[in-house]
Amino acid sequence: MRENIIRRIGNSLNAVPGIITRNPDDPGFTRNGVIKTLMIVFLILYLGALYSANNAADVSMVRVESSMTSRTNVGSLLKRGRADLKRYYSIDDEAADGYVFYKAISPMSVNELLIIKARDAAQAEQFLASVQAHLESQKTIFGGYGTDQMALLSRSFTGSKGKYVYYICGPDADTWRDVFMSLI
Amino acid sequence: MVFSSITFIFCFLPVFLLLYYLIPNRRVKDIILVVGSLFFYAWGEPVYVILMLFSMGFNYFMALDIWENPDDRKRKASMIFTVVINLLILGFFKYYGFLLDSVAALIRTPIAHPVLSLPIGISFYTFKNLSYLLDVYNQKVDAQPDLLTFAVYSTMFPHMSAGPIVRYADIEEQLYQRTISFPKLGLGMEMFIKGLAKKVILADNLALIFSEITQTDGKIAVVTAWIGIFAYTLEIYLDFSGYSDMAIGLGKMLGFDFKKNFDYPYISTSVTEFWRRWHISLGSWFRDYVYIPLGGNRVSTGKHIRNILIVWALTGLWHGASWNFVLWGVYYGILLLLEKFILASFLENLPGFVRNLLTMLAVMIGWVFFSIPSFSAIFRYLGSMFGIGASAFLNGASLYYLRTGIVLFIVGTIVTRPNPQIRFKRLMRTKPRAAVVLDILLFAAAVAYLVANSYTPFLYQQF
Repeated sequence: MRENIIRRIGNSLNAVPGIITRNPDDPGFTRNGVIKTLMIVFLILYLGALYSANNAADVSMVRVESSMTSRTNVGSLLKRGRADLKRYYSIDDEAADGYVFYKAISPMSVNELLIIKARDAAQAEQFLASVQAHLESQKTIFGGYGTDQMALLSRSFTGSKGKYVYYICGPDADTWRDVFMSLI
Repeated sequence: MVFSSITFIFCFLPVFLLLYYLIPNRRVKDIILVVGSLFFYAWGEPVYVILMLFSMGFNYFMALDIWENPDDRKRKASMIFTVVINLLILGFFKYYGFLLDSVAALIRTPIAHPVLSLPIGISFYTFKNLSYLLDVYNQKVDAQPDLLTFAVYSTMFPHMSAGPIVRYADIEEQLYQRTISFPKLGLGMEMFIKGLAKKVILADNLALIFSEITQTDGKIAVVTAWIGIFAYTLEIYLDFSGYSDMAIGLGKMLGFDFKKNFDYPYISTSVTEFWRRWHISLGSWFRDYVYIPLGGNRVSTGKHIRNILIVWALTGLWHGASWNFVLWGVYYGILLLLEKFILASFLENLPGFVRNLLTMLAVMIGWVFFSIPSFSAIFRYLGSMFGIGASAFLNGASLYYLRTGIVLFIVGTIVTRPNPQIRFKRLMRTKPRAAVVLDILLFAAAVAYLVANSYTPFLYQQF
């Protein structure tokens, strides 16, 4: 029964060049065709999963900002511009496709939200490295004495999805992240 | 994980080598090598270990399928199928976004697509596996029947992330029988330290100069532009050849002998010679698997020109999914054609040092195409080098970069020449203890730089 099923699958794939390379009546050769097919199916599923996990809707940064400020309390932080983006992340705002950057006024607070949109994959990786470096730098600054700050930093989020890279830190970081993720 | 990191040097490598040397059985050594290599790869990108394992398993199976098939037509179909799948995987990660962005630019409508990070070393291990498959198809090597032995070849960490592209035929015997000894371990360590020093002491500091110059707001002076590209010229060689030295050194520690990937390219007296000395494993790959199958130079002049341009456009594209890399490849294609068909007799009559200077001028202009992604920025930078749109010929910034970089430029230039290596080998023969002390000092200096500086990946790992 099992042999028959394998042989039938193998015979049905015989028409595809390269999939079945030998006499389909030989069970060993048919097995090769089935293995090849299974490998290709696995590859498609794997690439498909990666594709969907990294897929993000193309949302304008204006919309991201308006949703974040209307649906969360991120507006209580101070909106920051290109100078601060350069200062804290060493990112040139002209290189990016847009960004939303809010940071607490007090230098003793670690509450912060940065969402930056890259122009391509390579740039997204660079931005991700920058936000991770910023997080490490914050941990170095507050390590040893800022217990509350360190607790927030340890629960902060850095990551990327599609062309968007984010750094989210604060007591409401979970909500901010959820709202942002629902947008893209 | 990268070779030039504290984690690799002081945690991964000692533990791995200890296990590898303590266990006498080759099969167990192979298992340790495969597991260690997968751990090394998974350190940075665990999700892509699955892809690497798939690539290994798929190519292992398909090579056997091609090898065992008695029917030539079906063998060919199987080979084409395998090559297409390998190239589709490479294309999916590396060129898919680039293709869509290019189409979007043409039709002036944005096309949304996911941005996938590039699996480290995908271009290197895809080309390595393709060379194996094509050699099996052409019956230059036998297909490897043992999965573990093939896994050693396919996943070995020294050359996994940035080459050299080691051919199966070159290490087939070593997969079964390799010399693992303390003298070879010492030689490997010496090469590793040399590569590490090139990377962290010289290349990383030269990188700072070039990045500062290219990120300058507004116009730059002519001399500054030349200082910048000179720094990059040294940086890319020291970075990539440093990585290759480390990879070859690690190979020696594990008992393997890989072919050299660089042969002092900056002493070349022609562009043709430069490419015989630069990234040798990639150049020979394209020669053997693209240029020669296309007919090489044993065709009409028109087809010969076509072959050269195809090979160089592909060489450029291999380096990255960006038009500046294609431009860089085609630039070399045109230079090689000019050298071969028009300038050969003229260049032959020039003194060697003049030919070297001209070659280096062409190479440095090439690095502008290579290092700057945007076309407008490329031509702005080239303009600055030749006085078009420059702020001045020389200004305070030029003198600052010259003053701060002069030691790096001198040492970097000396290291690109064969003399230091010849002298070091002589020292090893005549005063081995002094050579060991020199290695220890170099290692200590490199580690000090590693501790003080932030993480800097190898330039060629992005390909």
